[in-house]
Amino acid sequence: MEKAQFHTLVVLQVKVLYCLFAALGLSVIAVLDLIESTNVYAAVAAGFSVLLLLYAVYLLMRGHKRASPYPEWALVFLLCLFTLFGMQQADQATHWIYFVPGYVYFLFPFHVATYVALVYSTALFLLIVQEYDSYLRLQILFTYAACYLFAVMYAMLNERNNRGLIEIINTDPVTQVYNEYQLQLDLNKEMTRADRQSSELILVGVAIPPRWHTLKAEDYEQRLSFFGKKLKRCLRKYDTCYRLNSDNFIILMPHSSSDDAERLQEDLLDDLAGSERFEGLTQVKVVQDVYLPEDDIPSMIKRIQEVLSNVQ
Amino acid sequence: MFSELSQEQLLPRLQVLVYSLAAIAISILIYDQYRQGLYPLVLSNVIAIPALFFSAIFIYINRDRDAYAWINYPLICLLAALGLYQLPDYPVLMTHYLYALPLFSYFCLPINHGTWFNVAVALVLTVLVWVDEGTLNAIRSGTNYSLLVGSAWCYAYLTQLKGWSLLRLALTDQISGAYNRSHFHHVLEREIARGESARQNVSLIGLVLEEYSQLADLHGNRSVLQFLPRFVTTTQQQVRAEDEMFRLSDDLFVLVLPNCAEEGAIVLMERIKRKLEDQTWRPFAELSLGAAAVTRQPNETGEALERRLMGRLKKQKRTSLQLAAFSE
Repeated sequence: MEKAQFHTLVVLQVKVLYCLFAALGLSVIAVLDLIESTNVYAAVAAGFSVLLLLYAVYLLMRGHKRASPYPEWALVFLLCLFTLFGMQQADQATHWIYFVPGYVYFLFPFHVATYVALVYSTALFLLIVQEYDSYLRLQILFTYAACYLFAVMYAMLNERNNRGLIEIINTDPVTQVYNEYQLQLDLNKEMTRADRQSSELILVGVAIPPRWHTLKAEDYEQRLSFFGKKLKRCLRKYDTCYRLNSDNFIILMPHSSSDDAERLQEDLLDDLAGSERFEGLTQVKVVQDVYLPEDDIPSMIKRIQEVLSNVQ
Repeated sequence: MFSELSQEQLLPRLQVLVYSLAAIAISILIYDQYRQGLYPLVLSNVIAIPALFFSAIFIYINRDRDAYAWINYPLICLLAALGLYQLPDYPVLMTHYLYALPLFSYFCLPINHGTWFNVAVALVLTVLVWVDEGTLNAIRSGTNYSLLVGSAWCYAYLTQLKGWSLLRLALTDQISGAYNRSHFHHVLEREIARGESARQNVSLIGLVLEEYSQLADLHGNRSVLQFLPRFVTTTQQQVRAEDEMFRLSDDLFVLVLPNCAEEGAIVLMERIKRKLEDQTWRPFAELSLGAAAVTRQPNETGEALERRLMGRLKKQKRTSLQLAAFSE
């Protein structure tokens, strides 16, 4: 199983398990509310429990496909509304406010989460000051502030960590081939080697069918991932494949001649022709370019990009 | 202020900030509780404030050493114990107080330890509420606490998972800037295949930073973190553009030299070693390096070549230790 798929699968499993766990917890709370005759709160807790259960089923049905974030956002929005209105009526709802900062910073991008949390916290602060007596007021504010602070700090650390890691991955998570930044590093090295050893360096550019660009993100990524696998299968052990920022691919073929590049092209097109998984696979365009001693990295990448866009 | 710090450096600084803010917030809470005559709570919180300040100061002093993290254990246990101790007398207030612990624990403890800690707190909380307030309240408090723990765990685990998966895609070692171990194996296999096709040699040079852990203990992690990128840059300046440098473990670096015969690799190794040992690496007084070079033999796999290099490095280390003992 590929790394990206494994990651998606684990995230899916954790989310499903969490939804089931939370649904169970909320159904227990609903029963307790029912016993204490707070029927409205019992209904709300049961409602959240059912929603989480449905969401878990939805996640399972989607399987490997990427799930939309909107159901999660809607659940958080409902929770925010319930806590803001519910805490005016009963203490039970107050306990639920401590969930909000963690959920918000986990589900939304950092800057969006900051705005959402600030708006919610301001409303909450005003409500607590108005609704609660001095015995509880400061304790609730203290615990909420602590939860808020930990959620922010944790999100900040993760944001920083992910930004740092993205700078060093140099591998495209969708196709598992190298990215354009790594191409520049490797091309620099290969050009020097070709000069020193007087060997030929061939660059093969592969343009994906233009129609793919109009597809939904999920379908598009599935095709790219499939195409990346096909490409890697056709390479010799010492060829390397890169995905450009334009989503076209470049294959670096050191110690090679035009014949090698043509053979690769034939193998690739044969392989794609034999595959019926996605339509339009045979419409890929393949071009080749030879490194010349007067070339530099930007001009070479630009040249091959131009040829690729002309053939599309 | 924090923009140039790595995650490892940032975490203790954020903990110092959070603990200081928490101590200030508790001071305000104490004032309010004093006004209301809640003197036992005032006393509890009076214990929490110096604990938080002491932890903040301890972490600040040890911010560039791994040892800073252990102070979080007694701190969080103390805070939980204070809350649980007051729970029978002030159930409503202390239930709210204890609900801050799940997020706090995952912020300052590793996930496993945080989970065990929370399980223990949840059990004690449920039992205490059950004894004083009956089964229904005990179930409610236990369930609420468990839901908070579940949410915090999910948040912590999934963000950690994302970090891991990005790390698995990474080609570069985050600290030194050299390529990492997983990329080393790809490149080695690629170069071997290429060497076979073009009938060229592939050589490896291994460089071991001797007494690496002593350097970190003596000068702190921060000095080592600042030293490693300089070490990699200086080494890369000594080799050809086509040679690549990899960090395989904390103290072990390997250079992959395509189209390089054994004699060339040995000469290059000696030159790199001399250059690196002669250079001044502040704040370290001197840098001691172990080095070995191997060249691929026909039909040798990448794994076998790597093993041979490690064997040579070990042998070289043993010899230098014997020489040192003999000269003393």
